[in-house]
Amino acid sequence: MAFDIEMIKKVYSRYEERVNAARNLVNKPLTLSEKILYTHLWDGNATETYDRGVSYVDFAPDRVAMQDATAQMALLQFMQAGRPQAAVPSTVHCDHLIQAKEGAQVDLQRANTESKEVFNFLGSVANKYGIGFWKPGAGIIHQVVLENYAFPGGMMIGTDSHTVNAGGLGMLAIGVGGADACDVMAGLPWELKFPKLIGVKLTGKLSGWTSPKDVILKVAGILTVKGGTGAVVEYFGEGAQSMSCTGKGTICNMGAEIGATTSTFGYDESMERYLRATDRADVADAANAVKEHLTADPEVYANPELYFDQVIEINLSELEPSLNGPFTPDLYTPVSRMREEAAKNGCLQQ
Amino acid sequence: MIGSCTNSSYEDLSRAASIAKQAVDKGLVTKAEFGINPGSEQVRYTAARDGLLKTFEDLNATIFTNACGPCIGMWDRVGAEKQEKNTIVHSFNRNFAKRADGNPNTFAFVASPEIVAAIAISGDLGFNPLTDTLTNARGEQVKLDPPTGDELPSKGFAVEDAGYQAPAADGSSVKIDVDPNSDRLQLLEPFAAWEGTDLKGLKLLIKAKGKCTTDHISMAGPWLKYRGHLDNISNNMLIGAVNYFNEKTDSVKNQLTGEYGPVPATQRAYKAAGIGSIVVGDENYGEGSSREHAAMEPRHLGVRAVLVKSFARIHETNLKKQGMLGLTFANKEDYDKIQEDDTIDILGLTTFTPGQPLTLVLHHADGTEDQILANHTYNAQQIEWFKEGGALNIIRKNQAK
Repeated sequence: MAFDIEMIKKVYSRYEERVNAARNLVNKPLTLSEKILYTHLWDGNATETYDRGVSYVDFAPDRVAMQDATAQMALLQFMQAGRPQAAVPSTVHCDHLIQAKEGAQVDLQRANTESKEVFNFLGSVANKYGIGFWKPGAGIIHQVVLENYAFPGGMMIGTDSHTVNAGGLGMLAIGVGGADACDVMAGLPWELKFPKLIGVKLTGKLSGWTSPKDVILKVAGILTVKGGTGAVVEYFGEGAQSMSCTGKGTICNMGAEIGATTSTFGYDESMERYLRATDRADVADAANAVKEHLTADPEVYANPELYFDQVIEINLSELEPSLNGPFTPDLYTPVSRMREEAAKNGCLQQ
Repeated sequence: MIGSCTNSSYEDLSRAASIAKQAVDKGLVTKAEFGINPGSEQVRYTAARDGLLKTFEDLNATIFTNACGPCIGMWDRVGAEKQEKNTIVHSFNRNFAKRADGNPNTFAFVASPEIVAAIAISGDLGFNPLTDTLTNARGEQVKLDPPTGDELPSKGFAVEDAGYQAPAADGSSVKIDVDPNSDRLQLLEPFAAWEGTDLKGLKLLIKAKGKCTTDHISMAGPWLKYRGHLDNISNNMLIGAVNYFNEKTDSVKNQLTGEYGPVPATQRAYKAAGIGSIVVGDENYGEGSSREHAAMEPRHLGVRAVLVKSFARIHETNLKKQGMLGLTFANKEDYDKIQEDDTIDILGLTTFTPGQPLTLVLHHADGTEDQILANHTYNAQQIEWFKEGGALNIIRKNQAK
């Protein structure tokens, strides 16, 4: 059974009403990103439309995730709020304070000694305030969130830029500072500038050596490290549907490297398979009941240029594996040209 | 290196393992060092059960903790201090200079786990597995077949101890574990509410010149270990900002003694004397990260206001949340009127209203005065934050009701 299934069901129970309220105001078909944004307004049903890239809007995220470095001040502040429990389901993940050197066993033991007081503190605060706590060695925040907490159509914030990884399960998951996490746990609204929307249409199908990583490496090459600033990137098309859920997570994860607010994909069978495989059939069933709201309206993907601020198309059947670098994640080189490019840098041999 | 918070799924590991297995089967050995960071204990346990990790270990791969590790620079790499030129290929997300191992001469490339495995085996960044062949231990030319893998484990996921601690159903009796002598953690005390009067006699702490990002205000690096200890991390307050009057960093005039000293020590001297202070800044003050310490440190050390030509919005909001006054020059040229020995009054706080500028009186050392206007963007709610000494003070009050 999934964590916080009652919260997820509650979110879904109001989805239709809120999507309809937004669609009536916007007066045209909605992208998935807009549906998630408009169903998470702090004030409930939409009463006005917002200008992309201009309006500041108060939202009510469904959950909060924190890593062990940024969680410290966020929780110290949260303790000041005087609440018995965090206002929304929240988790702490110990993954940043473990130095890699010799291998898992030795490294973890050393971290448990060196940062014992921090882990003990985080564990005790989590225990007190109803916050889930993932101990050192349990895993990396964004993978643990994808495996346990992310759900299609949800909105979450996390105190780390790669929180966006959860877009692989059809969420809007956004990286923030500790003060924002503290506010949401304390029961305050969370403010975000209403994002611009970039649509990425994936045609064809991945095969051979090409993988989801190559999709985001290509997108980074096109948009550069600044090209996604202030925007949500929404992926769609037959190529998106034929890709695994964790592969979608890989693409969303590196959306942080192009400066995107976050990235996401519409709910599909790959997500359902992943939810069931990770012991969350209850979430899959709940999502299936509202699935037309967990992706964009069909008109949007049929004519994306009418609904997105920018549209990119990538044919996965023609995509080559690539290596991006050095020193910046947007310097794109397909493997077939790598020998030539690397020779220029003199970094051929490892 | 394969893994980190991205590309550490079962599918990723199984596809990369299919390449590693071919290498073993075809008599190849890895020519480069090879490391794996599984994304979670569930993935690690399942991958171990299904023999994937064994395949990597057969190629002498190191299996690191299910944690960020090298991807965030938490990598004690042997020999990195020698700063030799070298290349790493990983399936992480970032590859900025020095990110993984601190060595500026490490050329880092990002690629899929499959390509990382192929390049680790070939030891050649230019290796194209689609077309190129490799020479095995028997001197034969062999080609790697395309990767294969399972989207999800055919036998299902499994884990013995996922490492999760569920919170207490009723946490009211749970004690928070902080050693009062700790240098890494310190419980916070609520900030004091506004005293209800105009702020008079504020000393100029620093007039920052040019770029002043959150890194200039609260430097990262070694200071990050104090991020849970407000008093200790406050010793980095504004040490990166350039003092307009002497063009130096971390060197400002203490108006009580006339001597120059570090910014945090000077501010602590004002605080000890019960004197408030003001920080003056240039354009886009506080740009960069959303680090809340950049707003909490000046608040903690007794700075009362930050007056700048313009703010980065997130930092401005963070200042407001902490109960600080974040103000902008109504006329940007007034920045030039601020002198090193200024004592400053902020007037109009008793009628603090949205949209109404405040008046600042600059008392210069030569006895002359300037009056300037300062704008603010506080709405009614944010004015309450200021009056109560911070947003959290209001929440706590409401909770107590």
